[in-house]
Amino acid sequence: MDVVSSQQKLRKYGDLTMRLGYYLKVFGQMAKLALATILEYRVDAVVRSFYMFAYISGTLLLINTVFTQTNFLGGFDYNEIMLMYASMMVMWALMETFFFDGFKYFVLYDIRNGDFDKTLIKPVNPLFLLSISKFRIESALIGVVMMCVFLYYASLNLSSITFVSAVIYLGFFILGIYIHYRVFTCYASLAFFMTKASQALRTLQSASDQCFYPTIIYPWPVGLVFFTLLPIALAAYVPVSFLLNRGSFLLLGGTLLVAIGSTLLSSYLWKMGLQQYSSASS
Amino acid sequence: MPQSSRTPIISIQGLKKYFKVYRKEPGLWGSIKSLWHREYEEVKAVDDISFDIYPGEVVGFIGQNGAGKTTTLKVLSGLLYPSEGQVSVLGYNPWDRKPEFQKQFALVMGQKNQLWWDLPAMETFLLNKAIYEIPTAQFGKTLDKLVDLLDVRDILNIQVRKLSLGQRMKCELIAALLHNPKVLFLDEPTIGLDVVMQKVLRDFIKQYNKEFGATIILTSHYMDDVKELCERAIIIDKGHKIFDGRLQSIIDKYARNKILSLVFGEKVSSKELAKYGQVKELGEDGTALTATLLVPRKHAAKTAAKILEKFPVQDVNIEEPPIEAIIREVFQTKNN
Repeated sequence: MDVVSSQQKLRKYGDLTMRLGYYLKVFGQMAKLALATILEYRVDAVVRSFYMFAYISGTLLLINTVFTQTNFLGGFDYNEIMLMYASMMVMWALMETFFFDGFKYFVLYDIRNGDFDKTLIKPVNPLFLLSISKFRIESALIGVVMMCVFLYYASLNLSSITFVSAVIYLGFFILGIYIHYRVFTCYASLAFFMTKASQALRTLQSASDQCFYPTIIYPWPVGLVFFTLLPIALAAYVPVSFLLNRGSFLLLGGTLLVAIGSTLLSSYLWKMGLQQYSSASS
Repeated sequence: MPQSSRTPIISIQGLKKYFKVYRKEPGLWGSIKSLWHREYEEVKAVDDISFDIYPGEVVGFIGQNGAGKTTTLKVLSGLLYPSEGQVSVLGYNPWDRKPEFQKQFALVMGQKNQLWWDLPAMETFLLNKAIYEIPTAQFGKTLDKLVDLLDVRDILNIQVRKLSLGQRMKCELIAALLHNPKVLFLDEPTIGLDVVMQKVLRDFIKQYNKEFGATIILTSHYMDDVKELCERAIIIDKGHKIFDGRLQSIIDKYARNKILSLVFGEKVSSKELAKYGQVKELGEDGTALTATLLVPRKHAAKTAAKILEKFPVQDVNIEEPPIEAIIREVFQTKNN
């Protein structure tokens, strides 16, 4: 009996590894195609990168302006706020590189034109395929630059960082990406039910501009929105708070609750949306 | 083998697919009114259709625009959930969308494409290789065969956006067939193509069916596609099935006339000819006169004999009317 059950476990483990290998292979192939497409339009990629760097410079200018008036924001000094900003931008760059455009195109075009058909008939998870259908490799460049900025400000805050807090930070960072993916899925699922779902995605993206500051500086209803409906706080404030050993059980519990809530809600909305999908006339 | 003794590969029983749409009154007031009050109505895209399709069959799905052809294909391929009814394709419930099922069929829509627009078609083929988990050896072999059959080796590495419509359609077919699907749904695959390219694709589909034994459902507005490829046709109108059988039996059932094409040695009176049938055309062709007559099917041979006796006929030909005309007749009969 034990032999049989351990064999079953092995087979299950083997299947899981194979599925992971399969998804990585598809992911790799999609990345190759995306890179090849970007190389077809080199000038576009360069212009977009320039625009993004200009945008980041503007935000940095704003932070510096704020800190000419005060030394602390929500109990965090300039170096710590910069750490939060860099952390958020690394997460943003990762999402932008791998799945934001996929969701955006899905919401804007795929559902209304019925182009989702070609994704839905493929023998692969359609949510996975659509989310990685548009890579923006140039955003990865931003990610690398912001990672350097993050490491620089982390080195300035070394006195507050321990090995354990760094590991916890990493865990929250990954959880933050997961929650964002789930929240994006919720917003994208709205496209099955309404034609202007793109507004919701745009709101999510533009709200991120305001959310690298500590949630504590906002009135509590706004903070709650940044934590739940637009969980940008999870990209910057929460992980960095834990990195600087200033995390709390409230933040931990809240993050886990949002993770569970977003998983359940996105699964439900996506499933309902697929049932609702009516394609488009040919 | 008689169909009844085989297991159908596709089975549809009482399929219904209704869509809810709302009617908006025209103008600005209609738009404002629709903010608080919307009148919804149910559109019956497919209404109680049943049929079985057997392995290796090539079935033509015929109907006017909006008859429910594409909706049926979308339900069969699992894109849409039916409102009611039982559907089984390859033993699967299509809308469960199981990968094992999805690896065994392909859907090609003439008006939509899966090829990556900015890259050569070969890149999409490689992506499909990864998605469908096609072993490298099998991929190479199938690709070689399809490329040869469709004669597209020269264009495989040219960006899709630079290909002609016909070349693109050929590459679409290859992308859809790389995993050797057992069932193939073709939704107007020849739409917009010139007659030469239509013929090339028809020959390919015929060859593919022969070589791989694939079951094919084809919708097309070009009756040549249906005539050349399908032995069996299913006609649907406004969501209802109105005919299911051999293409020849549509002709037998609905064609009331045959066409008599005549070439005369000297001029003949159209009044005299009209006694034998409905004169459709009368004209001069070189030195001889030609005429086309519609005569009742049952008496076509007798009428021809009488005309041969009475007129200086040099040549005579008895033909079935074009299938397009017969199908038109079917729809008119049903609508009346």
